[in-house]
Amino acid sequence: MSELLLTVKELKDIEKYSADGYVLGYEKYTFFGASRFSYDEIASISNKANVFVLLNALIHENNIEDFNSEINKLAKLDVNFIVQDTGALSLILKQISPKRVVFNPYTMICNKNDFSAYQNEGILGIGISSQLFIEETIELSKLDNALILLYGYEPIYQSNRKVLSLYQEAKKVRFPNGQLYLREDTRDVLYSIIENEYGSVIFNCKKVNLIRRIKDIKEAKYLLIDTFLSSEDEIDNVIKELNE
Amino acid sequence: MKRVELLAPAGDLDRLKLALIYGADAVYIGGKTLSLRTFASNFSLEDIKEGVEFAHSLNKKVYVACNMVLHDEDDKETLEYLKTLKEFDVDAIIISSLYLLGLAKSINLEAHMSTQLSILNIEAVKFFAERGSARIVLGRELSIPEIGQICRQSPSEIEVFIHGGMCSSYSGKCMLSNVMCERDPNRGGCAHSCRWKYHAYDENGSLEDEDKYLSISSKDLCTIKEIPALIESGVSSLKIEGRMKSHNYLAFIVSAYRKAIDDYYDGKKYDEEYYMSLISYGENRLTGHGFLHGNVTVNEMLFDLSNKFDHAGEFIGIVRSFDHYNKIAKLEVKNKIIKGDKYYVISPNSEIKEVKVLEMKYKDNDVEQYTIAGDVIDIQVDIDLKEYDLIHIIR
Repeated sequence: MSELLLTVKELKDIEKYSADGYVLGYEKYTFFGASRFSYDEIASISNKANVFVLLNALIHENNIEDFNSEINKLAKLDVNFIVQDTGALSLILKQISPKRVVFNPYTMICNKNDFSAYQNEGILGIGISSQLFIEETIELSKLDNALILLYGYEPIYQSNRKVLSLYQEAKKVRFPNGQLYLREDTRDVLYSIIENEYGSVIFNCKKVNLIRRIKDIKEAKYLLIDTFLSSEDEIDNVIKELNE
Repeated sequence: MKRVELLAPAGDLDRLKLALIYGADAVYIGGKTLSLRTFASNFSLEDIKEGVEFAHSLNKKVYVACNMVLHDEDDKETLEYLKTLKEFDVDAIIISSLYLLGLAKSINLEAHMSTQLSILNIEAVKFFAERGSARIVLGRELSIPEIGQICRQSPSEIEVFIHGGMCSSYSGKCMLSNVMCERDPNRGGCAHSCRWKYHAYDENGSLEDEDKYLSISSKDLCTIKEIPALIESGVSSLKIEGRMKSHNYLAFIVSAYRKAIDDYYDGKKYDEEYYMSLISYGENRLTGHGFLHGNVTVNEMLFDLSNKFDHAGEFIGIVRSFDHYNKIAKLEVKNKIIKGDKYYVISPNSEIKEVKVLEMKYKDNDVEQYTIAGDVIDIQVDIDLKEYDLIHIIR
């Protein structure tokens, strides 16, 4: 039976939405996520809920020592980690425990053998690419420890470049605050884009929504609902549909 | 003192030979399977074998890129393919897969971890080194001090990119082209969607006039100025990007970096101006130094997509053989050549020199000029030439 994970926008979501685990961004090293919480906020709920701290920044050499001290600080809490960076994975494998880390490199795990190679590290969970065809997703969901994005927007471009700021600086324009989008010149769809200290992320214009295929992927260990960029009403409806 | 390796791309056997003749210490190529450049011509098994034999005859190396992000359907007879590469004495494979690393290790085939993995810190380097990788190709988002810090602690060799196209995103993390046109960059189908035109919007609509567009594209990388610092940082290999690039590009870019590296080691004047002049004959995109000096600035971004590098020359043809007695070259034509005109020649390990075309024949018939690209003509000239010399007009 899969565990349902939910990314948390506000701490009250933990009481509002019933899930098996809650994914919380952290004030550092969360590249993109529903929100970021302080150490104290995470500490305040870590013994009340099954918490996964989302540290999905790619860690540059200049930050690896600081990252190491942050994960060791967080490891004292009763939390697990979700990381994207291989160095971050390695540190947690060596210093904390393989059983406390989900490795989600987003685009990189697309076949059973690579999945198994990481599985052999004893890792708690392994994120499979959401760019797979549904048949491929179903096949990989049957392997132990798979994490599958059940609902939400997937990142389709992650860059260390602050592309919005650089453009505004070069062209001497100023975009308003708030959610921004990009439209490719020949297409009529909008792609959400965010920017922060770690760079820029562009998200697919369409949400992943596998709720109607949930019976096919029910063997996955983790099914993730990512609330980022979705409204409260949308999430309410998703949870309602799931319960039905 | 072991010198740093100059590693060049090669899209086919002819360019493999050219890159090595022009001074690369090693080349990387793609086979028909597992390679990330679908639109490069790529090497048949016979070509790989011949390429390795040619390289080894010069005491040089060949690495085969197997860095596609595999889907189950791609994983057919993979071990047999790797065993064949091992039999051919390929020097290493370049991979982005932990699974392939295990397979390579099982047959004692050297494996290098690809830049597709966006390896950016020593812990990631050690992760793959401890699992058997002999070399790590670092992500392109690191500064020179960060590269140095990694090299000082790394159990594996470290390779960095020094020239060529830059992904705007972290490598391996971009799916723009897959989402927009069903061409998966991680399976070799990148449509360079980061180089397309975009418009910025907020909830209320477009933020700028329709004739304005937002670019997220990067300038290409050029690190001639940074080569001494990169060598001193302790890297083992300096890599030029571009398995789909032309003979002309390869000859000039490899020549420029060969000369720069040799001058550095030989204690000669480090003549940036001269090296850049060579690059200017081969390069056709605007360049910057990427992340080597820290976070990119507006100077490393390509906001005006119509902007091109001011190309210094025009590639006229490549010498396929030379009859020294009659001073007649067989020239593969690339652009219009005119009898009686003077051109410039670039040769491996040589200064650029002038050549005059005295006579021209196509299939034994005298011609005054010739323009059909790909045809081979005979030209009689006033100096000695050799195979793989390039003929140019220099503006």
